[in-house]
Amino acid sequence: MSPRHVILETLQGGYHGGAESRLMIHEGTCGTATNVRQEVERVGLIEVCEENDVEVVYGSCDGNCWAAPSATLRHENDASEFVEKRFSRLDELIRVEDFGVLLNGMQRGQGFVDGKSGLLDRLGRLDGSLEHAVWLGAYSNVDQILRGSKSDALQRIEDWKLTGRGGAHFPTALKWRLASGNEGPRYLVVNAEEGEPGVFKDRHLLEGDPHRLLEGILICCFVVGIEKVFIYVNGQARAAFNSLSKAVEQAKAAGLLGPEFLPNGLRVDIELRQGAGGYVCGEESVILNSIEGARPVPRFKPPFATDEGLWGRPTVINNAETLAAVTTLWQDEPPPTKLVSLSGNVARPGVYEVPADGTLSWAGLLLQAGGEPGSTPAILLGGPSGVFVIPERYDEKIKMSEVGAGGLVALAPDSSIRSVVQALTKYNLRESCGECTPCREGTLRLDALLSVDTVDFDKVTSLVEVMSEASLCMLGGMAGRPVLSAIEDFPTIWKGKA
Amino acid sequence: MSEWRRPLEIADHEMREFISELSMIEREKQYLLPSFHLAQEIFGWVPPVAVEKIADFLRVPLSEVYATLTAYSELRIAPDEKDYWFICTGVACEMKGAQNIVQQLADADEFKVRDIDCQFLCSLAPVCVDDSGGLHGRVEVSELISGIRESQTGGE
Repeated sequence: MSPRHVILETLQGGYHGGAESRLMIHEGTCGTATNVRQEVERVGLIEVCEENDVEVVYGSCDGNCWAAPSATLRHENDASEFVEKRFSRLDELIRVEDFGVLLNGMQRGQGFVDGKSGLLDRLGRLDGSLEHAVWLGAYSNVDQILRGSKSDALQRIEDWKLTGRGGAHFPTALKWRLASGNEGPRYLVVNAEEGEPGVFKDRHLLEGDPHRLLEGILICCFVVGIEKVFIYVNGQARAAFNSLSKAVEQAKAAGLLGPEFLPNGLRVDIELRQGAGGYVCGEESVILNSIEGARPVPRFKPPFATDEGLWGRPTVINNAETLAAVTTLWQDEPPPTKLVSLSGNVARPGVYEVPADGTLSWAGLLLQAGGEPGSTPAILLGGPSGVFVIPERYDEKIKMSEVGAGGLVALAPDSSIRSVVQALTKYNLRESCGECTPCREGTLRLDALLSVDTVDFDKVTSLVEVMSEASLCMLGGMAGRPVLSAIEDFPTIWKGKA
Repeated sequence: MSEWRRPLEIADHEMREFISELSMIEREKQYLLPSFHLAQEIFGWVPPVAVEKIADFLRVPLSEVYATLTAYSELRIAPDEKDYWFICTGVACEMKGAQNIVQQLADADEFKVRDIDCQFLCSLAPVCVDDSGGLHGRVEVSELISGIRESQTGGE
């Protein structure tokens, strides 16, 4: 038996599945913001759990943010079969008698099934220990991959057409191939900056299932031949940072990052870096500068990071979700999915997993989240650099290339599209780093052009063209997108009082 | 700028803690941002005296240290005005009446309230950040008023 199997088996063996019935209290950022600890006490859940031999554990949000404050009762047997019941928006008192009936009902297999799969599988189900994560499948894919060759792994990623989840959709396999073709040492930079207003899926992933990212990192390091990894986490995402730090310590202590687990003497060193604000810090070359200790401004491209990245060395820069998604490709029927953060005018805002193969329509997603396509005047995609999807398009299937980083806001019937666009323009103006003139001056003038009563479309269009052609990075390059989209789809709102 | 030049007392024990923690960091330019975070964690902001120490220790020119420091919006070069509460005005919060909340509280005149960019808790809009940085979801004006009143007058 290889030392790798010894590590995984020891980890798994150290876990005994916990209690048969467990109540997972979804704390995380969503739970904390809704006082879940006080609420579970208040409604009597803790008390009834004690009386019914149900173990109480604290975990993260499961992506059903709308349900917060919430808790999930899970009953599991030795064969890892389970039934679940989620207590959403803990607003009713829970009685011991009812709880007993519920538990019995669940044991007969009438549990609540929410159809989660893939990336969100373990979200909100983990108790924070490495053993529990391994028990629920963490590191099993990397284990399988390490038994094969690097080229097989790359081929698999290529076959499933995995593309970057940060919004640019660059083919992941190609990026890895380009970097591995250059002489080492090479670096991996994980972009977990996620600073785009309206996007919160990476935070959820890192808070709730950090080992999935670490597993993706190990796969990348093995395939590309990388020993040094930087994870750049958004400065405000404290809970995600803490959860990830803990996971890295756990993985280190268990030997998962060392040569006993990884072949060919590979040893992976992971360093966490905390950002300090600035939408522009999500741009990959800005992250490189930030890590090096230089001013956080974009670099000229080319050279591309896969040729000259951190300290001039070949560097793979992947979004956190991309690396997490890599781990889902080794299942029997891997469902490459994209996480989206859906908020606004829907009954159940939260993190959703959208199939990447274009089988779900906009209307379908709205309905899934309890929204009403009929009373949703538009969906804003991708925040300050995004576009609007109008009702005429709701029956179209969702394409990966459209969703950007995955921030979706369903607008309400009384939303003023014009004010939304103006607010986004002002946001871009504030966040422009000032390094290049087209963006620094362009965002200022775009804001001014939109602030008059009747907007001059020609001037706006030619300004946006200059900005998108000449800006150093995508902040300026895409700052005009929501404006052009709103002008095209809602031409009448730009005349009359601003 | 005037605020920046205001002479400010730095507690000795905080300075000692900062210097001892700083000395554990590797003396390389790449640790500039982690050093700023360290200072902000200890002092609540990045005071000039800490900036000088960082420049010395990491052997980076002072001008470059300032250029980098001031480029990050979350790093503070002046101490925070205390007791402020913030109302998130991201798109989702705006749709749930954030601007209205800010206005109502501002009209009341007794509260220190400001608006703030997206706090990434869009599912629980409208969202506020309390005076110690805690996030609260689905806030209502009446709850907010009592919460703020309690925190802003409670200690006196």
